[in-house]
Amino acid sequence: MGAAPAYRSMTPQQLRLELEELYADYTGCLDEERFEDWPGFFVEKCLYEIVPRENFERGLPLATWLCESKGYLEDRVVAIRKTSVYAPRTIRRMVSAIRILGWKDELLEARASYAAFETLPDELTRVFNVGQYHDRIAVDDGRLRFKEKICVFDSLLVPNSLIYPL
Amino acid sequence: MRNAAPAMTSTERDRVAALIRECSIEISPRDPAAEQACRELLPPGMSVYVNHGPRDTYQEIVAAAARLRRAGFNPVPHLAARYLTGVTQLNDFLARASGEAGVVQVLAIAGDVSPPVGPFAASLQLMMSGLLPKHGISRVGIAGYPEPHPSIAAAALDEALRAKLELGRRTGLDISIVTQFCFEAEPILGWLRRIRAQGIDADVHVGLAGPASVSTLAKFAVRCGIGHSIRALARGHNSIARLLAEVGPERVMRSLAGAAEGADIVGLHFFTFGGIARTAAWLNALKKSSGRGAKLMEERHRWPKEGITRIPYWVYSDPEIYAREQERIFCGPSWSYVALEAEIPAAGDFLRTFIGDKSVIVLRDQDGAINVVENRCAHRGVQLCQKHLGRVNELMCPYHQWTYDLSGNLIGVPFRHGIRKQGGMPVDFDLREHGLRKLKVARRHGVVFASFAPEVEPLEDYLSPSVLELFDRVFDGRELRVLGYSRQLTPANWKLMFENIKDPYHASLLHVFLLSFGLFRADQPNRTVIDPKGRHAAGMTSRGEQKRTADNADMRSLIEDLRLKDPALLDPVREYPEYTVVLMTVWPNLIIQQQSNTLAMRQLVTKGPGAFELAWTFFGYANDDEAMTRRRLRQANLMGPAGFVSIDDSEVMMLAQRGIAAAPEAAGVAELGGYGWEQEDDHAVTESLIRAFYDYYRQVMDL
Repeated sequence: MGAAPAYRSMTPQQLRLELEELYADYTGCLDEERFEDWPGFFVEKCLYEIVPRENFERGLPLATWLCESKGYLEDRVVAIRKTSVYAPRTIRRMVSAIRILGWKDELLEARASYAAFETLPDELTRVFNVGQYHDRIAVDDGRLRFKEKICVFDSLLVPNSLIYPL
Repeated sequence: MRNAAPAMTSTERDRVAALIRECSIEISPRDPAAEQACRELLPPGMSVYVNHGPRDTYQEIVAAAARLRRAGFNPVPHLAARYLTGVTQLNDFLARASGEAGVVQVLAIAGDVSPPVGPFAASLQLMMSGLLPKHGISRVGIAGYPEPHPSIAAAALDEALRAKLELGRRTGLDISIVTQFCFEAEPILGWLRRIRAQGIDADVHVGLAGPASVSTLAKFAVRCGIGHSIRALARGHNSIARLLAEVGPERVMRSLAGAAEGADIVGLHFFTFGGIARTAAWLNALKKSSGRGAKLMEERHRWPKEGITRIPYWVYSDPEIYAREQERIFCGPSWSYVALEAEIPAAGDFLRTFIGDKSVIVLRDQDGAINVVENRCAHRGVQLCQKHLGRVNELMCPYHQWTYDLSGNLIGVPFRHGIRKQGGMPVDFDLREHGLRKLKVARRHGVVFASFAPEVEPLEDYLSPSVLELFDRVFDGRELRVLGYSRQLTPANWKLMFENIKDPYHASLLHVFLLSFGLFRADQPNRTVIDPKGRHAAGMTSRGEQKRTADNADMRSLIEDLRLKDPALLDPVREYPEYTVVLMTVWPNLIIQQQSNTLAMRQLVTKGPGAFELAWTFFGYANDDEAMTRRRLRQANLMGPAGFVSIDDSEVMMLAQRGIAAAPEAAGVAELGGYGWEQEDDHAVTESLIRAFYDYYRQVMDL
């Protein structure tokens, strides 16, 4: 191991570069629909949620999408690949305004704005979902992995279906 | 199942249209709700008669007439001879009616009191006083009696009629006849033949009772001495069920329109025993369906001859149909779901939502009552409220700061009295006449419903016993706890959402997840329930096994070895008796979901013919323990815009709309399980719930 202290001792600039790379890898994996690799961005005991701001700000516990473990993330991948019926689409994600809040309990806390664009057959590309990542990131096996990733989205309305992760 | 009369011929339709163009109605002078209904539902310029009952004073009649005039109507006060104390009072009445309310027309009657209060016993004496023309009142209605009068012989009545008309000719009054109300056409037509034969050629307005229950009509008929007609009512509606049903005057109107003597009738006068709102709503619907535009619409919108086993695709995409749905379904006599009480627990708490296209505010007032008002300032139509939820002391419009209390009453208007005596509202500006539009509200076990139609039946009757029993299964009186919201905008017509839930058959084929894990499958015990009218329904089932059998051989999507890595998602606890899933549809905007331990209200909000919002409110009970709450939140993953199961539905509805919108000339087939529908079935291989829905839809929409 030994890599963990390296992250802890990085300057903010170095850390930002690490995070930018993490988000680029993460969105790249999803944009390219390599969903089987997606759970690998999380630690075993993780929390992944997509939550409307409406619930988040009022402290209402319901998430539109809830995964409470890595196994749960894998079940979602099975749904995407095998059980869900949906029209083909492309989703592209952009991440910006990364803010590092600092280390707390061995976890790096960060915020970032994200925007996801959706392209359906016969339609123009549209803004699909815009919000903020509330992330708590662990150093796991020498690399950064999400311990907690909460995607809080601004519009209360989801344009029809939320099939792929954000 | 439908009991519709044969369609009107085009001549009948034109005559009916002409009759209702010239129609008037009658209200009591002390009924603010009726006046409000007039303002909201009736066209300006219409004649509204102000009744003189035994407890009304002439001052009250003048005040009501003045309010009606300000609202744009032609007020026609009753001038009841026997209630007047003398010439002085008659003079004052007429002077004020003319001066304060711009009255130009009255209905001169004897009045229902014996002996008379003053010197006048008959309406003829009022006309002889010479005071009417003096106050600019030139048009006088007098009563006609097609049916025998309880105490005066027919010959004497005809003689009185002739005398009044003769007097009118001499004094320059324009006299017309308004008849007592009748339930059948023959006495009216016979009476017309009789008076015309005597040379009586005055204009005739025929009195009819607006829609009301048969029992209400019978009560008034007895009170007014209408003996013969009531038998016609009994003949036409010979079962107990029909006696409790509602009756409108369509049958009489069609007979009048079809008869040669009927060509002579100038217009109709409606007695609103069943409530002004009901008559007004009925009248508006009739006007629309008998007008020229409606005829064009009907030719384009002809339901397929197969009936409810076919659903023409124009119902999902045509803007005219959509407009009619807004008017007749969402603003009609239906109960729309608007909120859970748990969302607005304290005084001043409000929630903003929609009924169809219309934004409404649900408010809890200081007394704990829940009020629902339209989110539109009475002044210039500005939306008062933009937040979804909040707490207020009052509602204030941002534009000119008109202010309303928590019941929607107008309580403040800036510059009402002007500045330095300049400007301001007229002195007779009445705050009470300018409140927000108030909806009728019903609450049951923590669930709030609202209706734009004051005449809507009580919620419990509306739901019917079989649906109410299932409603109470989830809403058993326990306090609820809101867990959160999910909202999705689906590019499909709103009815496709109802059809999806009313179609238990698709679950066994489309939903790989649902059927593989045995959550909802046609080879499991199933039951369907429909209310007697066909508008609400419920489908229920019990969880089965993840196993291939001869019964599910057609379910090609069943995956026997599908396993969850995290089985916590499907770890339900038995909560309710008998069935593990009950999905209910409540006309016109609600789906109640109980799928294992996940409970949700799915509220449908229409967004034009091609889209709807589905607003999910997930909830549990206030006394749930933490484990149960976690279970509900986990199982919520099955549902909503990202639901393991419901993704399939929102996607399929989008694809359905794409196919349908391009083919208004085609129709969908719904023959699974037969051609009609039953109130109860014990299998899920049926589209009977969809057929029942369209059976009711066609009646409401007149399609």
